[in-house]
Amino acid sequence: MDDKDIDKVLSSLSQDIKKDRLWAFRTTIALAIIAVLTVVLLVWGF
Amino acid sequence: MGILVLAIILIAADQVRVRVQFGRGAQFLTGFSVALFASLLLLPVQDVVIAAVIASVMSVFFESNAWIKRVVNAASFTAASVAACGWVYLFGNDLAGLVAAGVIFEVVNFASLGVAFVTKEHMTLGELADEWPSTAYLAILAPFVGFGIGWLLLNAPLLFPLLMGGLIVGLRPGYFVFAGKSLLRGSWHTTPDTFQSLSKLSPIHNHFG
Repeated sequence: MDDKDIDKVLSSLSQDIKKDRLWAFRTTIALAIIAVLTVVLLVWGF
Repeated sequence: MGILVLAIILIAADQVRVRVQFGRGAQFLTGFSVALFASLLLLPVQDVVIAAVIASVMSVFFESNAWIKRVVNAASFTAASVAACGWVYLFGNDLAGLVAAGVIFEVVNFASLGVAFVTKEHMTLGELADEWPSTAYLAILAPFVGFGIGWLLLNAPLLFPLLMGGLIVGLRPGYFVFAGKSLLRGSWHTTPDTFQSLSKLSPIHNHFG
């Protein structure tokens, strides 16, 4: 495995990490929105 | 107004996706169907079906793949939601009714997507059949989870924030501990051929486009 291979592996790894962070961020925001709006509906009395 | 709030909840729930693998096939369990069944347990069907159609159509703008795929996804979700709501309207929203509605939701969803897969992507029927077990699995899973969340909201609404907090922590384990900085992200999955995090389980159906 030469340097280029390692670069490739590292860049694909960092790409995956970026996607994971984006996914985690989006999921967290979505869950927070669901939680807040569900409480709004509850307080509203549906 | 309440319908719009519910539609926003459904759109947000659609952003929460966990990949379920079953045999050679795999599907996303999106929070959409779970939230739909929870709503069907708690709210009048007539309101839920309007919110579900709004959310399904609006989901076109919240996806990141090709437009044709977004439209097909939106159309299949609309058809599946209307079918599930129609079932609940006719036969009630007890657990059995919701489970049946879940089966109908996934059957309609799978059938309409299957038509698109075979005609547009030239997927063989054998490949399509590989996807079926995971779809059937979700058909059972989603209404039970939805029923559980709806039941919790009815009987112990104060526990709801705990549930959401648990989901937020549980769905992003790698980053809860490591904040995305470490290359060796924990030891959650140590057996070969498994992956470090949920979104990496998805090389083909990549929801980031």
